[in-house]
Amino acid sequence: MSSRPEVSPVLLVQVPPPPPRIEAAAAPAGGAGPGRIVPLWKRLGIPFWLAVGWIVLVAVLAITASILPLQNPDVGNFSALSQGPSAAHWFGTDDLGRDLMSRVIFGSRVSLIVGFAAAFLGTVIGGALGIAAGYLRSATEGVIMLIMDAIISFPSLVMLIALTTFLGKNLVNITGAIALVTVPVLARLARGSTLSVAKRPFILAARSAGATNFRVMWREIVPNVLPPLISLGLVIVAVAIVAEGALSFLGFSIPPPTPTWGNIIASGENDLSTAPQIVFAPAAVMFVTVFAFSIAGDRLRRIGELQSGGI
Amino acid sequence: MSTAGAERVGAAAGNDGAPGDRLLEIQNLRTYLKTSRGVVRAVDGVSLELRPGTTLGLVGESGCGKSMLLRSILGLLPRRSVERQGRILFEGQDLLSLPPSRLRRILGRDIGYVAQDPMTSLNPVLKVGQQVGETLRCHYGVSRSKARAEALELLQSVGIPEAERRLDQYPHQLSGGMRQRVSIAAALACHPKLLLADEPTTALDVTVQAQVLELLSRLARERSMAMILVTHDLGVVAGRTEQIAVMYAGQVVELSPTSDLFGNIQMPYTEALFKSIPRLSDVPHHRLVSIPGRPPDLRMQPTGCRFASRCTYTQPQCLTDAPALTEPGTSGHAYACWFPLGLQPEDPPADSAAPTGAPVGPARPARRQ
Repeated sequence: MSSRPEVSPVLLVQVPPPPPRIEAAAAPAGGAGPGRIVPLWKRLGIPFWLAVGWIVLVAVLAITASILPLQNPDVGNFSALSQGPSAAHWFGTDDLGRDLMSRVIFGSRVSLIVGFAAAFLGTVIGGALGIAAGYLRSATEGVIMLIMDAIISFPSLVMLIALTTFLGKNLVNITGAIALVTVPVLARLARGSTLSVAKRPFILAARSAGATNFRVMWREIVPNVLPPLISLGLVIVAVAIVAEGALSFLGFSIPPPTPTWGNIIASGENDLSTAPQIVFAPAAVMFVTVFAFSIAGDRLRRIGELQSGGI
Repeated sequence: MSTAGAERVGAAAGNDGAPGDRLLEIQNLRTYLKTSRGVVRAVDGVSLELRPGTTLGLVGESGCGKSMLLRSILGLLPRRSVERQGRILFEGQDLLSLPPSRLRRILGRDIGYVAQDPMTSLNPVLKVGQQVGETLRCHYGVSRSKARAEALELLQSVGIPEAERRLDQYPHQLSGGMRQRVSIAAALACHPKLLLADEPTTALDVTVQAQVLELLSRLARERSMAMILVTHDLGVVAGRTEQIAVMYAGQVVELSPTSDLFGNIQMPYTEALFKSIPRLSDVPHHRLVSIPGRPPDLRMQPTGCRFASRCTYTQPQCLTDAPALTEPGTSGHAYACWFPLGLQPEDPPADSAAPTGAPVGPARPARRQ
């Protein structure tokens, strides 16, 4: 490279500007370009890890709530009704004098369980249906996608309310109902990814080795479709938490006195002007949690896109 | 010219061999693809025979039906839009009429398949070891650890250095040649009796091509495995096959023992392919020889010889009557041509019948002896 300017004096005049540019271009390319040099955790970025940190914190608190030195979420202190935040009650108290922090933490159990379980169920069922539709095509695809379209075109909140009212307001039914609503979204993504994967020659290679349809789907397609599904799945956790919150606010989820974010918010609705902490404490926690899931899912999706672009 | 070779293939090509003698027998195979713009006759009446442990080279331009022939054998064509007629007897069983579940038991176990492009024929998200062991797990249900041990052995047998480490790598961490070795290893996992290799070296570097071809022939020899080696390069199959079938427009136009073919090319198409192999003895900057025109549209086959429009020796008869694949001698050398190169009556006037001016030298030596 450096021998070039010496070849001709004419070039000597022109060359000086390029070298720094070449150096400058080479340095970041060597530093960030070919995937393996920057470790994955670093590429995910600070927002991702903040989001994950928050999710972990909320999850740990929810799991350990009963052994934490929290006040009983169901027993009110009648000498401290609707108080603002204080040393004794960090988030304040509600209109029955119950500690809001304790209620929010116990309430996160329902939200997280419903959020994770519904998203997991939705991903598994939606993923399976989408892969089957995308790989088997023909009538299977037609039937599956018709059902998905039918579910998607029904107003989801109305369907959730109908299902929970009809089946009963318990954790399993609520989870199932929310999962059902999320299935079509995930099925569409899985089908789309499968369509592109199924065209690739390694699928033909697997079939030429005598693999059954199930084996091709499970061993060849699932590993390829899983990364986008998982990142969308995280976003769906957020959606499910919001859906549960909405149901519970409307009184179609786990009924009080069991705290859920939604029913705490609902209970503070009338006192919004006098005791805003009742609404804001759960709302803020819910907002940050939902935001965290969205950021985490979105970050993962981008990394996945970068990687599949490189392969 | 080894008489042994000619005799061996002669027996296979003729009707005198015992039926148990043949590993694969394709009888009048027709594969028609029904598309929205008409029926594509991708394979149009192909008959081939393959004896155990022998290698057949299948040669032809792109789009002449080679790959479709392989896929027809494997049955990996969409069932609704593809019609296959004829018989494909593999060890006496007709693959065309086998139910899919029975066919799957043969594929991968008795018939291996190596795809053209190793960049895309390996699953990017599975480790190499898993992919090589997959066929074994699929057909014999061996344990993960057993499959891994077998995969290690297979990788070593295809000449992959540091095979132990490679087992846990992903395809993108390997070079093209390595990947093709891996897909060969995967195809060989169950010790197939027949290996179908669809242009296994087309996507590889020239320097690696020879190595991979050498590997394939060595493995075929060691395992006494029969092989169909598809290529568009006559040079590739010259030293590595017992028999060569030249395909054009969905048909076999010349079928011959390898030992007999190169000294005695009969079909002008084969000759044209042969001439388009670049030679080291050519003058530098010499224009590469190519065949003028393109293969005919497989939806509307011309009457008469399908190569007639591009042939330098076309005679009136070629345009009206289709020549059949016939074997005049007993050497097993068959060809489909009214005016084979061996007995050109007077060729110079025929040159003018070529529709496009061939960029080849004007005075064409009609035959080489």
